[in-house]
Amino acid sequence: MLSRVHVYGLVLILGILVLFNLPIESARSLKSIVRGLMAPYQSLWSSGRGSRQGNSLPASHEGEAHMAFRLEALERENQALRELLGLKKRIGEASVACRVIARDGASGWWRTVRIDRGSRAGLREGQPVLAAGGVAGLVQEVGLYTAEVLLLSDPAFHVSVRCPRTEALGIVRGGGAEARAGLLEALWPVRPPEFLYADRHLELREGDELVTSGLGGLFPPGLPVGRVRRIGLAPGGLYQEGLVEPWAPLDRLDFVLVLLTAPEEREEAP
Amino acid sequence: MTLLAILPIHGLALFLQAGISGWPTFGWAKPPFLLAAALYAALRYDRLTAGWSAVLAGLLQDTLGFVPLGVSSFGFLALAVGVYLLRPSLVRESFLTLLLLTAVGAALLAAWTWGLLRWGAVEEIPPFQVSPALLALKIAGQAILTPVAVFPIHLLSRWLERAICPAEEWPA
Repeated sequence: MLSRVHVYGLVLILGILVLFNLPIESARSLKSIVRGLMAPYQSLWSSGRGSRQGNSLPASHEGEAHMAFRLEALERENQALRELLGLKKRIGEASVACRVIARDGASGWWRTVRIDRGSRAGLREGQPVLAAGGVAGLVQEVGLYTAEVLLLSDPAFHVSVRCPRTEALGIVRGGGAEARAGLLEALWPVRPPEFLYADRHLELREGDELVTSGLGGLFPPGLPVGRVRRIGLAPGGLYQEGLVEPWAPLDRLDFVLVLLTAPEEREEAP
Repeated sequence: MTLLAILPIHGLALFLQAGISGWPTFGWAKPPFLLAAALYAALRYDRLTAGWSAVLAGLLQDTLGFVPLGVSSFGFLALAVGVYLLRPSLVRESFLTLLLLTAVGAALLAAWTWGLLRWGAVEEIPPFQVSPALLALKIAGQAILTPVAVFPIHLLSRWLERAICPAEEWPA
C-alpha cells in the first residue's frame, strides 16, 4: 500500500508531466494569465524609473539639482517618443506604441523585452518591432495584455537587409561571443549583431548604412537597421561579413512601435 | 498558515526576477529569487509544503519566458527533494546554508535547462543558441548573483513566518 508521502510525490510528478504535455495553446494561455497579472505592477515599476533615478540623488543635491535631473529624464522620454512618432509617420503603416515593462524573461536565456500591449491591442506573432533609431526586434509570443519581443541582439534573430549605397544584400543576425585570440573562450566579450552573406564583389566599407530589404515578408523594405562597423571576407572567401552597430538603443529601450500590418496586406497595397 | 507565509514570498520573488535585467558580462545571468524561495521552503517546512512550493516556483519561472512549462518545476522539485533529504545534516536556520544551496542549485538548474533546450526537440521556442562557453559564464554569474537573491528572500521569509504564523507553528 502506498504511504501518504508517496501519493503526494506521485501527484506532484504527475502534475509536472501534465505541464510538460500541455497543448501549446493551453500553455500559452497559462503564461498569458501570469504575465497579465504581473503587467500592471511591471508598468508601475517601469513608468517610475525616471522619478526613482531622481530620488536616488544624495540629500545635498536635492532642490534645484533634483528638479533638473527629473526634467532631464522627462526630456529624454519626450525625445524618444518624438522620434518614435516621426518614425510612425514616415512608415505610414498601422502601428501601436508600447512601453517596455521587463527585460530578459525570468532566466535570461534569450535577449527579450516584455511590452505592455497584447492581442487585445491587435498584436500577433511575427510583427516587426521598431525603436527610436530603427529595427529593434520581432514579436515572439503574445498574451492578452502583454507580448514578448525577441531583440535584434539575440542570436536567434535574423532579418534580410540591403545596403542602399552598393545595393548589396545580406542577413543581419544577433550577436554571440566575439572571438579573441589568446583569450579563453569563456571570457570572450559579447559580440554585436553580424552582417552575413554579402556579395564579395561589392565594395562595402565601414559606416555603410543597412536597411531592411523586404525579402522574407515580415519587415517592410527600407527600415533602418544599423551601420556596418567592420567588414571583411568570410572564412573561405565566398562572402563578405562584418559587424553591425544597431541604430536602436537595444540596452535602454523604454518605448517601441509594433507594426500591425500583416505581410500579405503589405503586398496587396499599391 | 504556512501558505500565507510562502505565497507572498513567491510573488515577490517572481516580481523581482521578472523586473531585474540579466547581467550581460555573465551570459545575462539573473539572481535566482524563485529558486531561493523554493529552497527556503525545502529547508524549513514539511515535505508537502516543500514539494508544492518548488513546483509552484518553477512553474512561475517558466511562465515568464519561452522555456516550456514544467522544465523548471521538475528541476526545482528535484533540488527541493535533495535539500529535504540533506536537512538532518545541515544548519537549517543559517543564511549561509541557503546561500550555498541556492548557488549550487542555480548552477545545476542552468545546466539542466541548457541541456534540455539544446538537445530536446522543442519546436515552439525560438532557436536556442547558447554555447557551452556562455553557459559556463552564466553559471559563474549566477553563483556571483546568488547573494543578491538569497539575502532579501531569507530575511523576508523569516520575518513573515514570525509575523503571520503563531509561535507554535514556526518551523523547527
